[in-house]
Amino acid sequence: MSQQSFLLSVAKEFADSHGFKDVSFHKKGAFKETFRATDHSGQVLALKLLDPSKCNPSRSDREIAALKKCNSPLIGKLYDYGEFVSLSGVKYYFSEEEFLDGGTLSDQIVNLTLIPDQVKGYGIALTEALSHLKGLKLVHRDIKPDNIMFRKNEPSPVLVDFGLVRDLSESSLTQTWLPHGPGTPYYAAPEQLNNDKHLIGWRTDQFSLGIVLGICLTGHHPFALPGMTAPETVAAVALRSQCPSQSRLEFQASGLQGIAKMLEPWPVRRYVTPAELSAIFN
Amino acid sequence: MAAYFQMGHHAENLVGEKDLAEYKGIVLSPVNRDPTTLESDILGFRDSGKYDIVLDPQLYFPDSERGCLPEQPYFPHDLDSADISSETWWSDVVGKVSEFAKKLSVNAVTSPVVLPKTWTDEYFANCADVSRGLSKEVASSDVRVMTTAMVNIAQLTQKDFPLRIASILSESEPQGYYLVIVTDVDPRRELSDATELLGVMNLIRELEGTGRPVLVSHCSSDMLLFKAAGASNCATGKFFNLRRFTRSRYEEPAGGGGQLAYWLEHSLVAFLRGPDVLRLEREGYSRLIGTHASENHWSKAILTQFKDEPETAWVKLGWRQYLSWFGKTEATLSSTEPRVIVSEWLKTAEENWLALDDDVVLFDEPRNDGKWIRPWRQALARFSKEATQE
Repeated sequence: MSQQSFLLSVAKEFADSHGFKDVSFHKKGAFKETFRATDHSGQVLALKLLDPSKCNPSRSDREIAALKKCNSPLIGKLYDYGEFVSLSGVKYYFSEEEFLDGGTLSDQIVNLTLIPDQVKGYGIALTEALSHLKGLKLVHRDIKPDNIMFRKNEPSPVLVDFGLVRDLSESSLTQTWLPHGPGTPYYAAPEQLNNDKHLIGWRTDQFSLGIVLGICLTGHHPFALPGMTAPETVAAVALRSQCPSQSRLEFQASGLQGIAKMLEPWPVRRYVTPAELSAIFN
Repeated sequence: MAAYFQMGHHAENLVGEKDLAEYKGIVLSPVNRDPTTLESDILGFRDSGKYDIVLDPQLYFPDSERGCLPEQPYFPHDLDSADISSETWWSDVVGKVSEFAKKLSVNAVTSPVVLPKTWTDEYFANCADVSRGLSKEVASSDVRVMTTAMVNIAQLTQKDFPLRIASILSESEPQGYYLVIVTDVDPRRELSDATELLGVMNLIRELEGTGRPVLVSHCSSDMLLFKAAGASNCATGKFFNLRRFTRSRYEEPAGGGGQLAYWLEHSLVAFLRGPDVLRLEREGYSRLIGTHASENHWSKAILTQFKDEPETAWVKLGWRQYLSWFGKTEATLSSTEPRVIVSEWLKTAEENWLALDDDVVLFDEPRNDGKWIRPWRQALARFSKEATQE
């Protein structure tokens, strides 16, 4: 289904005022829209506009702060950021980021599964990305196929969209009384779904990565039994159910039985360090 | 996989003692020794053998009798008045503990913790943060960091609590765990709540499951259950009231209960007073005396003394007889499948207690009746069942 842009005119205003050209709508998220644009030096970039009325400015600040800390080819690059006031007087947050033109992981797995070697390759690269984040005390909290992108003609995945990032060295922005924390429920770990704030750590991202890799490998959510709906699947994860034996057997058949450990309901039973996780893909 | 000496009041002379060769580690007690003495103790320990020496900063009870603690260079003199939820405060403590550990050239240091008013996720998250900070501080040295897992045994009965605590503490990614069990069970009494014991065993299993060894502090005969749960290492001391981590751990004067002589009897998994050892002999139950590792160099010395010098105190022999049993039993359980062996031992012990009861053989201490064996067996049975199901 094609998406409609509400901010294209604002993006064009921005481009005019910054000397950008070739502005076109790329995609739309919950709080922001992404445009493809070419800057004055000829570099193609992703222009992201956030409507302040639809998002928490503190989260946007955290996202920018997190991206500024990151320095890894496995994580999308941030070039610039700030505020932009449109001609109608509305203030928007903007960021200029690396434009990844090789598509998303979602594109790769539409009606397809990946061969185990490809899954292993993604596993190694994304574990390295998580290791980088861990060293910065960052938890992405929204690892999913849409947020794993590629550069054109490059096999290595790139992690993007830090809108829900948690900086463990800063106080939490999530209220304790909330029934669940931020995240995309279908890919979220039990501690996110239950808003167990003190259990959030790099192993939370490890769980989501396990879901993603499991889907790549088998074509279905690892916790989804035949006939289960998506909400029922999410509920099973939230209840801290064990990964069904059917999925475990599928992982085993692909030589990736270690994915089951990534999907343990409690963080203590997952891999303790990125090095230990990486070993299952080698 | 080894037994550790838990240092207490004047316990240093037990290191290297005859028939205690199974001990491979020592947990220092800064409450009982000033910094200079600690340093010289360590030199002595190094001379007498190759020990894994662990510094436990022992800041557990801020308002308790502190002994030599205030003399330690890391001791925070604002402990009673400071905001101990402050990261800065902990950072300062951690820096000083690290410096002291490096100066002493210990092999490992446990992360400092204080007894909380309530045992919340936030408390355990702070413990993990402190441990992580300590790891950074000692990173340039050979000193290992063990995250102190100080837990309220009653809380471990809540569903999934061991998993929750272990999940939070394991964020610290230490090189090991130092388990401190807090309970209100009186000193010299066995833990006897099966659900609580199962909680401890589950916590041990979860922490060990991370691939990092657990050292259970202040053990007594309950070491059997901790080893069955998979604990790599267990520590004990000469006074068997040491096994209780209550406030009295530090407040009871050395001349108190610690001076009671006792004998650890494997066949009953119980501490016996002298008259009760003799009672067993008199009542035709010699077969229950000196079984398994309860028969050791020191048990023979005690029996000889009973015969030759019945009026002479044997408290020091008793410490050694117990410590010898502990070291040898720990070693046995480290080299074989502990759950099966412990299960058999406890079954036999219960049968022996029932036989004594049937014959109305009553010990001096009314509570020394073996009633803890059944909850121990229940805890072990449930633990084994759950472990098999997973």
